[in-house]
Amino acid sequence: MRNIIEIRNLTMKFGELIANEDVSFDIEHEHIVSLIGPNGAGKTTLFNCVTGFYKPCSGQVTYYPEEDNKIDITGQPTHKICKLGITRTFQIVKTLSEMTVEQNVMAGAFLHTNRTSEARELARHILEQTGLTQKRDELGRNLTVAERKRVEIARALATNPQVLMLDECMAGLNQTEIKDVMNLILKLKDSGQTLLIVEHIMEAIMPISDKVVVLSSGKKIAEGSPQDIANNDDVIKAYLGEKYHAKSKKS
Amino acid sequence: MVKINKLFIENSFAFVLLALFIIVPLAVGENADIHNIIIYILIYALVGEGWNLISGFTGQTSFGHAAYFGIGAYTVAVMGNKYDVVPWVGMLAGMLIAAALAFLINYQLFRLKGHYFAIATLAVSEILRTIFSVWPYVGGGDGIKILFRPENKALWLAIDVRNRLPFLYITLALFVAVFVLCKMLENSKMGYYWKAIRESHEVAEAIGINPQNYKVYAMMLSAAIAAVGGGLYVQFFKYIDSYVFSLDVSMIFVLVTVLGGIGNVYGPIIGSIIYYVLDLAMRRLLGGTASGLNLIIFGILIIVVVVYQPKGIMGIFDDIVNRRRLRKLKASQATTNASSNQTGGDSK
Ligand SMILES: Nc1ncnc2c1ncn2[C@@H]1O[C@H](COP(=O)(O)OP(=O)(O)O)[C@@H](O)[C@H]1O
Ligand SMILES: [Mg+2]
Repeated sequence: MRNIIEIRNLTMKFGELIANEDVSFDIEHEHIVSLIGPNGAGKTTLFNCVTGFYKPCSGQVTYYPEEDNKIDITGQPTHKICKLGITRTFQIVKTLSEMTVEQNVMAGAFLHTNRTSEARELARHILEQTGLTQKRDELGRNLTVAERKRVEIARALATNPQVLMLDECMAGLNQTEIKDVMNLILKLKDSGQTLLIVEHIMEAIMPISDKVVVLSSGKKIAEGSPQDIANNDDVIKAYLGEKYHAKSKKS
Repeated sequence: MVKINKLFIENSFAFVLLALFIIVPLAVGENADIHNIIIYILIYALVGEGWNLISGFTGQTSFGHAAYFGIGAYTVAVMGNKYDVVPWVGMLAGMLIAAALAFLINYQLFRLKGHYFAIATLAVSEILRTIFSVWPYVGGGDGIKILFRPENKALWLAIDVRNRLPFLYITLALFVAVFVLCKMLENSKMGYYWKAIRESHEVAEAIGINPQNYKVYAMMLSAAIAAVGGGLYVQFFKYIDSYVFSLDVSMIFVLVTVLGGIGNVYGPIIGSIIYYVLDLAMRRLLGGTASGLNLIIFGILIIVVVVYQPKGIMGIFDDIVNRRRLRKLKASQATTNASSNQTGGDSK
């Protein structure tokens, strides 16, 4: 097992506010690493730092596209990081609204081809995989939230990333839709995809993760297997608050 | 053969338009007035196609395309008058100069977003206007009157004022070439990347697009096309001065495209036709006394279009086609349902 991304001492400040403070963890090749934490913990900010949307104030992000190929991607432009093999989705979905579902995905597929016919073929394959074939010719602006979240994933997948980063791609979905996305994520993992997932829905994320990293107020407070995390006092405290924690201890 | 049929069916609207542009000039006989109008329609539609690449497809509004139009016009005029260069070569040189200028200026300007970019483009054309109005080499405030000397083959294109037809068809051919180019670009990787940038910078970057580069490509192509329009215009009008760089001129390309349909290859030509037909009708109806009235009506039309159908006349057109398609789809679904019910009943 090798690391594909190493995040070291990452700190990101917005003025006085410290959104990420000295965060370090690894993402293992062909594994699912989940990033959880309460609202405002700094998960999206970390995504933005890894993918070049923000330049971190300090710290380093190292990417190993191959075993013995080491690239420092800290603060590199986003499009360059994508070409190297790291793509993300957006928590607040950014569907290309005047383009059809197929065109949304084709835009991603053009990363590895200059030919429209090839991009279309690849896009159709991914639409099949993500269950969007029926919606192929629908304009982005006419989609439901669940469909938009799926387009978000499909478009990122079309760039054929080594590391796929999903930011709350299940939020706002119903039970069956969440099940669908979970299955899709597991299928991707089976085909050798490395994933970093930010998610709020514990029931969805715990069963599929190989490792869970917990952020709270910008700091990493825990890291381990889903079981370890579920039983971790600090994590329960961060999620439920001190008061509740004290009460539950007493009883 | 099948492929050719498909080409005709999918682009039937374009072929109908083309047929009209070929037939109407012949049908009206030696009516120089209508020939003039058709030439103007084509020139402004041609530049509109260029403007559409950067502002329609890529979403970067330019209020300064007169800069590139003017460069194209001045290049043909100066090279023709001073060095006896044929207009074809002059237009090619104008395209290259315009594209180079677009590269130099916009590589920096594209750091600006939205309205700031639009204002900066306006500033560029205003600066050119000031420079050209005092620069003796290009005639300064007097401008340049295109000369005709028998030994000067430079101006053979538009020289015969009584017979506009050859020049009209040359303009038509160039417009068709630009139209086809734009349609091909729209369906290429470049077109997809432009639209992705227009819809979301962040998404574009996240899927590996460098927005800065693709915006510059769009602007360079757009500028080169505008320069072709300028080159045609000066041969037709035979006089040019620094007024060509004014906001009035820039706005023609904007308005014609917005009226017809921004981000649609048919937009500029449809908008241009409507504008000039309206213009002609007004002048016929009211004579010279109401020369400003067509502008007022045009302005009202633009407001109506932008408020009710931001995608212009072509948007209204698309809506009708889509609604009809939907209705057909529903009807065909209803009949298949009905027939399957029937067979179900039979088997019982
Ligand atoms: N661009 C920004 N400017 C200022 N503050 C920001 C910005 N982005 C995020 N923040 C702040 O950083 C903190 C972490 O936000 P975020 O990373 O979005 O949290 P999460 O994704 O874990 O819910 C929040 O307090 C948020 O208000
Ligand atoms: Mg977030």
